[in-house]
Amino acid sequence: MGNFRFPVKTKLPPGFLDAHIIRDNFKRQQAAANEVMVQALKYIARNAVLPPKARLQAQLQLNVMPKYTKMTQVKNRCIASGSARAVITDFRLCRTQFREKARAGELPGVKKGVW
Amino acid sequence: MLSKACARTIGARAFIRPSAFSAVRLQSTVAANAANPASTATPTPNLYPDTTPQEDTQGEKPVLKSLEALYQPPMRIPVTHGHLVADIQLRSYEHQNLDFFVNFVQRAAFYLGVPMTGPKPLPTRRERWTVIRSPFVHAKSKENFERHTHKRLLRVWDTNPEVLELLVSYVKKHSMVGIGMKVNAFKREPIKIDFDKDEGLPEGLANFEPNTGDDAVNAKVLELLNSPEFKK
Repeated sequence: MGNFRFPVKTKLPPGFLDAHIIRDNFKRQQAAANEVMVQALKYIARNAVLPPKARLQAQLQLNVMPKYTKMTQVKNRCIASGSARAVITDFRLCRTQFREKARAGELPGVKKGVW
Repeated sequence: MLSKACARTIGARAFIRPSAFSAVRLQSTVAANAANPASTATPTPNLYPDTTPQEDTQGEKPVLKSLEALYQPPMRIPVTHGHLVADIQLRSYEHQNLDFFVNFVQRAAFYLGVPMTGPKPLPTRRERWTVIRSPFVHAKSKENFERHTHKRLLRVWDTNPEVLELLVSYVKKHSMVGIGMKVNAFKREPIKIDFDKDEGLPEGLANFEPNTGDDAVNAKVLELLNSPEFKK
C-alpha cells in the first residue's frame, strides 16, 4: 500500500480484508497502544480527591486524544465477511457465515441442534 | 503402542488374573458369521487368536497375557494410602474417541503401576446457537446448532511426581486429535511456620504481591501528576 490512509502506519490483519475490517483493526491496535495513557487520564479525571485543576487538565488531555485511541470505537466484526451485525462471539463469524460453515462441517463439534 | 508397553512390563508384574478372561471373542465371531452367512465362504485372517480352552488346542501357541488383556476392561491398581496426586480431565466434542482414549490412559496408568480411579463423567457442556436461515429478512425461519463438550475425570493417587510426569508425557505423546487434557497436580509440603512464635510469613509469601495488571497505569498516573502541566 503506497499511500496509507490512516494517521499511524499499522500492520494488516490476516484473512479476509475489507475497508471496515482494516479500519476496525487499526482502531484496535491504536486503542491497545494508548490503553495505559487513557486509563491513567481517566483515573485522574474521575478521582474526586485530587485537585480540580489536575482533574481538568486530565480531562482536557483526554478530549484532545483522537477517537481511534478509545476502546469504545472498537466493534466486533465477522472475520469471514466483515459484517458487523449478528456476530457470534465464540467463532467471530456472522450468522450467515456461521450457518454455512457449520453445515459444511468446518466448525469442530458444531452439529444441527436436536433436543 | 500399548501392546509394546504391555510386553515390556508384563514380565515384571503379576497383576493379570487368568481366570478373569472369558469367551468374548468366540461369541462375537459366531454372531458376526450368523448375521452375514456370505462372509463364511471367505475366511478372514484371524488377527485375534482365540484364547479360550478347547479340546484341540494342544498344538496352539500360548498367547501373551497382555494381548488377552486388550479385550478386557482396563485393570486397576488399588488405592492404598489415599493421597490424591493429580486430577486428569479429558475433554472432547465426541464421546466415542474420548472413551477410547480414557481407556488408553487407564491402561497406561496400570502398566506404570499408578493407582487411578475413574473415569467419572463430568456434566456435559451444551452450547446452542439459533440463527436465521436466510441471509436477508425471512426471520421467522431459524436453524439450531449445538456443540456438546464431553468431559471425563481421572484421579491419580499415591504416585511420585516423576512417575506422574512420565504418565502425562506418555499420554501426551500418544494423544489423539480432538481430545484435550488438563492435569491438576497437587503437591504436599510440611508446614514450616511455628505459629506459637510471631515469626511472620515465610520468605516466599512475605514478598508476594498480587499482580493486578494495574502497575503500568499506576506508574503512569504518578508520572502525570508529577509532570509540570499537572503541577500548575
